[in-house]
Amino acid sequence: MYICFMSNSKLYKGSLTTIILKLLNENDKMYGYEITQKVKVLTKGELNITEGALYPALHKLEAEGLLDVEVAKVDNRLRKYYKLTENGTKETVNKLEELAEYIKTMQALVNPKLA
Amino acid sequence: MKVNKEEIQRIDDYLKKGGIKYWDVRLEMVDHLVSDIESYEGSADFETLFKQSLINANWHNNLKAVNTQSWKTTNKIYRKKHSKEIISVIKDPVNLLFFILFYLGINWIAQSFPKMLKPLFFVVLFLPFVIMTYEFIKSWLKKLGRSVNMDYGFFYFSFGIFITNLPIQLIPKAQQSIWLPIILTLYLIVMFAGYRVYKYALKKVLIMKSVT
Repeated sequence: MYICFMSNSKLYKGSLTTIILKLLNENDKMYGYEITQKVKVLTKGELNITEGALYPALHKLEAEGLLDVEVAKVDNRLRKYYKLTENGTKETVNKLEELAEYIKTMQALVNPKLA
Repeated sequence: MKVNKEEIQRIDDYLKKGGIKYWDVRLEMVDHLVSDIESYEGSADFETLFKQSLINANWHNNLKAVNTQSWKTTNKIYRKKHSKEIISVIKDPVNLLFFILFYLGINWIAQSFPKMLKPLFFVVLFLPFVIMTYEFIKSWLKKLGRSVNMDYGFFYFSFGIFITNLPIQLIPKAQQSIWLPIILTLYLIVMFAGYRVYKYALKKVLIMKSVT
Protein backbone atom coordinates (compact mmCIF):
# COMPACT_ATOMS: atom_id res chain seq x y z
CA MET A 1 0.00 0.00 0.00
CA TYR A 2 1.27 3.44 -0.80
CA ILE A 3 -0.76 6.22 0.78
CA CYS A 4 -4.14 5.61 2.29
CA PHE A 5 -6.83 8.11 1.44
CA MET A 6 -10.44 8.46 2.41
CA SER A 7 -11.26 9.38 -1.20
CA ASN A 8 -9.59 8.40 -4.48
CA SER A 9 -6.03 7.31 -3.68
CA LYS A 10 -4.95 7.12 -7.34
CA LEU A 11 -5.26 10.88 -7.66
CA TYR A 12 -2.79 11.45 -4.85
CA LYS A 13 -0.17 8.85 -5.79
CA GLY A 14 3.17 10.34 -6.61
CA SER A 15 2.69 13.39 -4.41
CA LEU A 16 4.14 11.88 -1.23
CA THR A 17 7.61 13.35 -1.81
CA THR A 18 6.15 16.81 -2.39
CA ILE A 19 4.05 16.54 0.77
CA ILE A 20 7.08 15.58 2.87
CA LEU A 21 9.30 18.30 1.39
CA LYS A 22 6.60 20.96 1.81
CA LEU A 23 6.05 20.03 5.47
CA LEU A 24 9.76 20.08 6.21
CA ASN A 25 10.05 23.40 4.46
CA GLU A 26 7.51 24.85 6.87
CA ASN A 27 9.00 23.20 9.95
CA ASP A 28 12.64 23.23 10.95
CA LYS A 29 12.75 19.47 11.59
CA MET A 30 10.20 16.70 11.93
CA TYR A 31 10.08 13.00 12.85
CA GLY A 32 8.09 10.26 11.14
CA TYR A 33 5.09 10.07 13.45
CA GLU A 34 4.85 13.86 13.53
CA ILE A 35 4.62 13.97 9.72
CA THR A 36 1.77 11.42 9.62
CA GLN A 37 -0.17 13.34 12.28
CA LYS A 38 0.43 16.72 10.67
CA VAL A 39 -0.88 15.44 7.33
CA LYS A 40 -3.93 13.97 9.06
CA VAL A 41 -4.69 17.27 10.80
CA LEU A 42 -4.08 19.48 7.75
CA THR A 43 -6.32 17.34 5.53
CA LYS A 44 -8.93 16.79 8.29
CA GLY A 45 -8.35 13.05 8.15
CA GLU A 46 -8.85 12.87 4.38
CA LEU A 47 -5.27 11.81 3.75
CA ASN A 48 -3.51 9.21 5.84
CA ILE A 49 0.11 8.42 5.00
CA THR A 50 0.88 4.81 5.84
CA GLU A 51 4.06 4.00 7.74
CA GLY A 52 5.00 1.52 5.02
CA ALA A 53 5.17 4.39 2.54
CA LEU A 54 6.47 7.20 4.71
CA TYR A 55 9.71 5.72 6.06
CA PRO A 56 11.01 4.34 2.72
CA ALA A 57 10.25 7.75 1.17
CA LEU A 58 12.15 9.56 3.94
CA HIS A 59 15.13 7.21 3.58
CA LYS A 60 15.14 7.69 -0.19
CA LEU A 61 15.12 11.48 0.15
CA GLU A 62 17.93 11.21 2.70
CA ALA A 63 20.03 9.06 0.34
CA GLU A 64 19.43 11.57 -2.46
CA GLY A 65 20.88 14.27 -0.24
CA LEU A 66 17.63 16.20 0.05
CA LEU A 67 17.21 15.50 3.76
CA ASP A 68 19.58 15.50 6.68
CA VAL A 69 19.13 13.33 9.75
CA GLU A 70 19.58 14.29 13.35
CA VAL A 71 19.22 11.69 16.09
CA ALA A 72 18.18 12.78 19.57
CA LYS A 73 17.36 11.00 22.78
CA VAL A 74 13.76 11.71 23.74
CA ASP A 75 12.33 10.17 26.93
CA ASN A 76 14.39 6.95 26.99
CA ARG A 77 14.22 6.34 23.26
CA LEU A 78 15.96 7.53 20.13
CA ARG A 79 14.24 9.75 17.63
CA LYS A 80 15.28 10.46 14.06
CA TYR A 81 14.55 14.01 12.98
CA TYR A 82 14.55 14.92 9.32
CA LYS A 83 15.34 18.37 7.98
CA LEU A 84 15.87 19.84 4.53
CA THR A 85 19.35 20.26 3.14
CA GLU A 86 20.18 23.16 0.85
CA ASN A 87 19.46 20.93 -2.16
CA GLY A 88 16.25 19.80 -0.47
CA THR A 89 15.05 23.40 -0.18
CA LYS A 90 15.73 23.97 -3.88
CA GLU A 91 13.99 20.72 -4.79
CA THR A 92 10.93 21.73 -2.70
CA VAL A 93 10.55 24.87 -4.83
CA ASN A 94 10.80 22.76 -8.02
CA LYS A 95 8.34 20.16 -6.77
CA LEU A 96 5.79 22.79 -5.71
CA GLU A 97 6.08 24.54 -9.07
CA GLU A 98 5.59 21.19 -10.81
CA LEU A 99 2.52 20.50 -8.68
CA ALA A 100 1.04 23.97 -9.30
CA GLU A 101 1.55 23.48 -13.03
CA TYR A 102 -0.10 20.07 -12.84
CA ILE A 103 -3.13 21.46 -10.97
CA LYS A 104 -3.42 24.31 -13.50
CA THR A 105 -3.32 21.88 -16.42
CA MET A 106 -5.86 19.57 -14.82
CA GLN A 107 -8.13 22.49 -14.08
CA ALA A 108 -7.95 23.61 -17.71
CA LEU A 109 -8.92 20.12 -18.78
CA VAL A 110 -11.61 19.34 -16.24
CA ASN A 111 -13.08 22.77 -15.60
CA PRO A 112 -12.09 25.20 -18.37
CA LYS A 113 -14.24 28.02 -16.92
CA LEU A 114 -12.27 28.08 -13.62
CA ALA A 115 -8.93 27.94 -15.36
CA MET B 1 -0.02 7.95 28.66
CA LYS B 2 3.71 8.16 29.39
CA VAL B 3 5.71 5.10 28.34
CA ASN B 4 8.54 4.06 30.67
CA LYS B 5 11.96 2.54 29.90
CA GLU B 6 10.84 -1.06 30.57
CA GLU B 7 7.83 -0.66 28.29
CA ILE B 8 10.03 0.76 25.53
CA GLN B 9 12.27 -2.29 25.91
CA ARG B 10 9.18 -4.52 25.74
CA ILE B 11 8.22 -2.89 22.40
CA ASP B 12 11.74 -3.34 21.04
CA ASP B 13 11.81 -7.00 22.12
CA TYR B 14 8.41 -7.61 20.56
CA LEU B 15 9.56 -6.16 17.23
CA LYS B 16 12.80 -8.15 17.38
CA LYS B 17 10.99 -11.43 18.12
CA GLY B 18 8.43 -10.62 15.44
CA GLY B 19 11.15 -10.55 12.79
CA ILE B 20 12.58 -7.01 12.67
CA LYS B 21 16.21 -8.07 12.78
CA TYR B 22 17.86 -4.70 12.27
CA TRP B 23 18.15 -2.26 15.18
CA ASP B 24 18.29 0.74 12.83
CA VAL B 25 14.89 -0.27 11.44
CA ARG B 26 13.44 -0.89 14.90
CA LEU B 27 14.69 2.51 16.13
CA GLU B 28 12.13 4.45 14.09
CA MET B 29 9.40 1.86 14.60
CA VAL B 30 9.79 2.03 18.39
CA ASP B 31 9.63 5.83 18.36
CA HIS B 32 6.57 5.70 16.10
CA LEU B 33 4.71 3.24 18.34
CA VAL B 34 5.66 5.03 21.58
CA SER B 35 4.60 8.39 20.12
CA ASP B 36 1.25 6.86 19.17
CA ILE B 37 0.75 5.34 22.64
CA GLU B 38 1.72 8.63 24.31
CA SER B 39 -0.74 10.57 22.18
CA TYR B 40 -3.53 8.74 23.99
CA GLU B 41 -4.76 10.77 26.94
CA GLY B 42 -7.19 8.24 28.45
CA SER B 43 -6.57 5.72 31.20
CA ALA B 44 -6.12 2.48 29.22
CA ASP B 45 -3.29 0.10 30.17
CA PHE B 46 -0.02 -0.16 28.25
CA GLU B 47 -0.67 -3.56 26.61
CA THR B 48 -4.03 -2.45 25.18
CA LEU B 49 -2.55 0.76 23.80
CA PHE B 50 0.49 -1.08 22.45
CA LYS B 51 -1.73 -3.51 20.54
CA GLN B 52 -3.79 -0.61 19.22
CA SER B 53 -0.70 1.29 18.11
CA LEU B 54 0.48 -1.80 16.18
CA ILE B 55 -2.92 -1.94 14.43
CA ASN B 56 -2.82 1.81 13.70
CA ALA B 57 0.58 1.42 12.04
CA ASN B 58 -0.54 -1.75 10.23
CA TRP B 59 2.29 -3.68 11.91
CA HIS B 60 0.08 -6.02 13.96
CA ASN B 61 0.42 -9.20 11.92
CA ASN B 62 3.09 -8.63 9.29
CA LEU B 63 6.36 -7.80 11.01
CA LYS B 64 8.30 -10.26 8.85
CA ALA B 65 6.92 -8.56 5.76
CA VAL B 66 7.91 -5.17 7.22
CA ASN B 67 11.45 -6.50 7.74
CA THR B 68 11.59 -7.84 4.18
CA GLN B 69 10.24 -4.56 2.84
CA SER B 70 12.83 -2.60 4.83
CA TRP B 71 15.82 -4.49 3.42
CA LYS B 72 14.37 -4.41 -0.08
CA THR B 73 13.95 -0.63 0.15
CA THR B 74 17.43 -0.22 1.63
CA ASN B 75 18.92 -2.38 -1.11
CA LYS B 76 17.20 -0.24 -3.75
CA ILE B 77 18.52 2.95 -2.12
CA TYR B 78 22.08 1.62 -1.85
CA ARG B 79 22.05 0.18 -5.37
CA LYS B 80 21.06 3.58 -6.72
CA LYS B 81 23.70 5.24 -4.54
CA HIS B 82 26.35 2.84 -5.82
CA SER B 83 25.46 3.59 -9.46
CA LYS B 84 25.53 7.33 -8.72
CA GLU B 85 28.91 6.98 -7.00
CA ILE B 86 30.35 5.18 -10.04
CA ILE B 87 29.26 8.09 -12.24
CA SER B 88 30.57 10.62 -9.73
CA VAL B 89 33.95 8.82 -9.53
CA ILE B 90 34.30 8.92 -13.32
CA LYS B 91 33.14 12.54 -13.54
CA ASP B 92 35.84 13.73 -11.12
CA PRO B 93 38.76 14.89 -13.33
CA VAL B 94 41.42 13.83 -10.80
CA ASN B 95 39.94 10.35 -10.44
CA LEU B 96 39.47 10.05 -14.17
CA LEU B 97 43.09 10.96 -14.80
CA PHE B 98 44.18 8.42 -12.20
CA PHE B 99 42.14 5.62 -13.79
CA ILE B 100 43.33 6.50 -17.31
CA LEU B 101 46.95 6.46 -16.13
CA PHE B 102 46.30 3.22 -14.25
CA TYR B 103 44.85 1.61 -17.37
CA LEU B 104 47.72 2.84 -19.56
CA GLY B 105 50.25 1.59 -17.00
CA ILE B 106 48.72 -1.87 -16.74
CA ASN B 107 48.31 -2.02 -20.49
CA TRP B 108 51.98 -1.16 -20.97
CA ILE B 109 53.01 -3.88 -18.49
CA ALA B 110 50.70 -6.36 -20.25
CA GLN B 111 52.32 -5.66 -23.60
CA SER B 112 55.94 -5.26 -22.43
CA PHE B 113 56.16 -7.76 -19.57
CA PRO B 114 53.31 -10.28 -20.09
CA LYS B 115 54.65 -12.57 -17.34
CA MET B 116 54.15 -9.83 -14.77
CA LEU B 117 50.48 -9.34 -15.64
CA LYS B 118 49.08 -12.21 -13.59
CA PRO B 119 50.93 -11.42 -10.30
CA LEU B 120 50.07 -7.74 -10.76
CA PHE B 121 46.47 -8.67 -11.45
CA PHE B 122 46.23 -10.54 -8.14
CA VAL B 123 47.84 -7.69 -6.20
CA VAL B 124 45.34 -5.15 -7.57
CA LEU B 125 42.47 -7.59 -7.04
CA PHE B 126 43.56 -8.37 -3.50
CA LEU B 127 44.30 -4.84 -2.24
CA PRO B 128 40.66 -3.65 -1.95
CA PHE B 129 39.88 -7.01 -0.36
CA VAL B 130 42.47 -6.30 2.36
CA ILE B 131 40.97 -2.83 2.96
CA MET B 132 37.51 -4.39 3.11
CA THR B 133 38.60 -6.99 5.68
CA TYR B 134 40.27 -4.26 7.74
CA GLU B 135 37.09 -2.13 7.65
CA PHE B 136 34.97 -5.16 8.53
CA ILE B 137 37.08 -5.95 11.60
CA LYS B 138 37.10 -2.26 12.60
CA SER B 139 33.31 -2.01 12.43
CA TRP B 140 32.92 -5.37 14.19
CA LEU B 141 35.08 -4.08 17.06
CA LYS B 142 32.84 -1.02 17.31
CA LYS B 143 29.95 -3.42 18.04
CA LEU B 144 27.54 -1.78 15.66
CA GLY B 145 25.07 -4.67 15.87
CA ARG B 146 22.86 -6.01 13.10
CA SER B 147 22.26 -2.97 10.96
CA VAL B 148 20.54 -2.92 7.58
CA ASN B 149 22.72 0.05 6.57
CA MET B 150 25.94 -1.78 7.42
CA ASP B 151 24.78 -4.96 5.65
CA TYR B 152 24.20 -3.09 2.41
CA GLY B 153 27.22 -0.86 2.90
CA PHE B 154 29.38 -4.00 2.97
CA PHE B 155 27.46 -5.67 0.18
CA TYR B 156 28.11 -2.82 -2.24
CA PHE B 157 31.69 -2.51 -1.02
CA SER B 158 32.26 -6.11 -2.09
CA PHE B 159 30.11 -5.81 -5.23
CA GLY B 160 33.17 -5.29 -7.46
CA ILE B 161 34.55 -8.70 -6.49
CA PHE B 162 31.32 -10.46 -7.53
CA ILE B 163 30.89 -8.72 -10.85
CA THR B 164 34.55 -9.04 -11.84
CA ASN B 165 34.66 -12.75 -11.13
CA LEU B 166 32.58 -13.88 -14.11
CA PRO B 167 34.23 -11.93 -16.96
CA ILE B 168 37.69 -12.98 -15.72
CA GLN B 169 36.76 -16.64 -16.09
CA LEU B 170 35.36 -16.11 -19.58
CA ILE B 171 38.42 -14.41 -21.08
CA PRO B 172 40.30 -16.67 -23.53
CA LYS B 173 43.96 -17.00 -22.53
CA ALA B 174 45.18 -15.44 -25.77
CA GLN B 175 43.20 -12.26 -25.10
CA GLN B 176 44.14 -11.81 -21.44
CA SER B 177 46.63 -9.03 -22.14
CA ILE B 178 43.87 -7.01 -23.83
CA TRP B 179 41.01 -7.62 -21.42
CA LEU B 180 42.69 -7.81 -18.01
CA PRO B 181 43.80 -4.13 -17.98
CA ILE B 182 40.23 -3.08 -18.89
CA ILE B 183 38.63 -5.35 -16.27
CA LEU B 184 41.12 -4.29 -13.60
CA THR B 185 40.41 -0.60 -14.23
CA LEU B 186 36.64 -1.15 -14.12
CA TYR B 187 37.08 -3.25 -10.98
CA LEU B 188 38.94 -0.43 -9.23
CA ILE B 189 36.25 2.11 -10.23
CA VAL B 190 33.45 -0.14 -8.91
CA MET B 191 35.37 -0.90 -5.71
CA PHE B 192 36.15 2.77 -5.09
CA ALA B 193 32.46 3.65 -5.54
CA GLY B 194 31.58 0.75 -3.21
CA TYR B 195 34.01 2.07 -0.62
CA ARG B 196 32.27 5.47 -0.72
CA VAL B 197 28.88 3.77 -0.30
CA TYR B 198 30.25 1.83 2.67
CA LYS B 199 31.59 5.06 4.23
CA TYR B 200 28.15 6.65 3.77
CA ALA B 201 26.51 3.67 5.56
CA LEU B 202 29.06 3.77 8.37
CA LYS B 203 28.57 7.52 8.87
CA LYS B 204 24.80 7.02 9.07
CA VAL B 205 25.12 4.24 11.64
CA LEU B 206 27.69 6.12 13.72
CA ILE B 207 25.36 9.17 13.89
CA MET B 208 22.64 6.92 15.29
CA LYS B 209 25.00 5.10 17.64
CA SER B 210 26.55 8.31 18.96
CA VAL B 211 23.35 9.19 20.79
CA THR B 212 22.85 5.80 22.51
